[in-house]
Amino acid sequence: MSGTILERGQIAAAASKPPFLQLPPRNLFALRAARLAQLAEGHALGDYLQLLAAVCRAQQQVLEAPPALPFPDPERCAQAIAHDMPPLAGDALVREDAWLPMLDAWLAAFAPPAPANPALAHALERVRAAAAAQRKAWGGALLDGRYASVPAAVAPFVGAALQLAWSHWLLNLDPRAFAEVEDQQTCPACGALPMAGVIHGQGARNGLRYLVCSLCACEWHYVRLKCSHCRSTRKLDYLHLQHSPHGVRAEACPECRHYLKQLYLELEPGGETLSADLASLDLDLLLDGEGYRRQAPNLLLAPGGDG
Amino acid sequence: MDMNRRQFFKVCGVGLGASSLAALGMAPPPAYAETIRHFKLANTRETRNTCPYCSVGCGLIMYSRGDGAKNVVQEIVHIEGDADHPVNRGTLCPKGAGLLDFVHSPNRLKYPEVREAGSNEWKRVSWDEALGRIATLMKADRDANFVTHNANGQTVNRWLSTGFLAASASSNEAGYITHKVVRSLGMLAFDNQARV
Repeated sequence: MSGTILERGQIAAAASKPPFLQLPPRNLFALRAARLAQLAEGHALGDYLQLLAAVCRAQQQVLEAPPALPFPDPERCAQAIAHDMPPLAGDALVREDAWLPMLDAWLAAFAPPAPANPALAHALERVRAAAAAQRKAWGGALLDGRYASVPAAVAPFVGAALQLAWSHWLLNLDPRAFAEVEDQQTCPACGALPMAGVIHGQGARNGLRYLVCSLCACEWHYVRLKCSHCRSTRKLDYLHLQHSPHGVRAEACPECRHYLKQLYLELEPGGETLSADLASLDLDLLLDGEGYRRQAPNLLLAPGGDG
Repeated sequence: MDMNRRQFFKVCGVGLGASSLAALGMAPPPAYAETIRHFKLANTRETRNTCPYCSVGCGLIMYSRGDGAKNVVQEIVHIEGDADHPVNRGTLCPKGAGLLDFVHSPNRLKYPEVREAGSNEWKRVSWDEALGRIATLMKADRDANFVTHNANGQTVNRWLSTGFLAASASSNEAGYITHKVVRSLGMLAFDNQARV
């Protein structure tokens, strides 16, 4: 972006195609936890952000020492990738048992923040007591956005386990195997909807928009100034709160009345997408008032009003 | 993808009463939703454009403020290279990087002006006057210097004493019209590269 000092590799990057798919870093959940804890300071929803920071800390702990988890058949994966289909298709795999050990591992690792919260303890107990079939039903409903079928109190914990399983699988894939597809509106790796967009502010991806998967956290390139829901490029608005501290703007399409929140890393260099999304719920509330609809979930929050 | 099968998500407009926040006993105070309702939404519109300087045609993203309503003046607040554009992939040359100052320059030409031969003063003229004057001068020059035949008697119909400079960031259609107008007059020298 203009006015900045060129970085090493930036000119070389300009002469080549940017990567289509980018895997999250291995310490992704630690980064989320740190950022959530930081954002919680003085935030109106601070308690919840602190709780999610603890959720993410446990996720990181499990990701570093994962339980034995069957990996989806490599041959099936290769075949899916070759045909531009998601190899870790969330809607299919969530109905299988493969991801369930992650939920147990996460429950074992999670340490609820003080002070004791009876509603939280009750919700955790409910997840712990749930049978495999119930857990899979919750997981499937959450990925489908059928919030009426998931109790709001257990959604974040089921969501955390889903994120863990899919990120764990994703980190074993080779991102270079994926061919770029134009107008890719769902995650190329798992088929889930994007949680938000991120506009990079540094290095080889400076100024490019990537969509961030709500499930496996991979990032894929999507052309800027284009609605990620209806592909319109006309009269998009970039709405934000005046003096918003989070570097988040919502790309709102007047044609299909949907929006996607975007994190501008140039405005918020230490930002991280999931935490920025959760910290800017005020923007979602305002946009809802304006009649815009959000197109994708954040798995760590059941918003309490599915459309 | 089948649009009907896509799920849409809505944060409850009346607040977060049925959300995970409330279900876990962490709902914000009821005043929160009320406070938010009084916040103002700002709009920083982003628009694609092409750099006007030269025929490389670098892609730009221009950021402007103002909500696009009829009575609100849009003000360009930032210009950067378009990282998606295959020509420049987000980079800009020093001239392109200074475009914001070019846009807001107080010396920017906003209307036709003329400096008569022998004068050192620029005088503002109307568009009608300017176009009439250009046409008159072009015709006078063409009538005086149009070449119908060369030394061998071959028909050439050319006009060498006037040239034409068009814009570097023109579209194909503008380029086509330029070519038609200029070549029909017999003019040979024209250029779309603004080497400024």
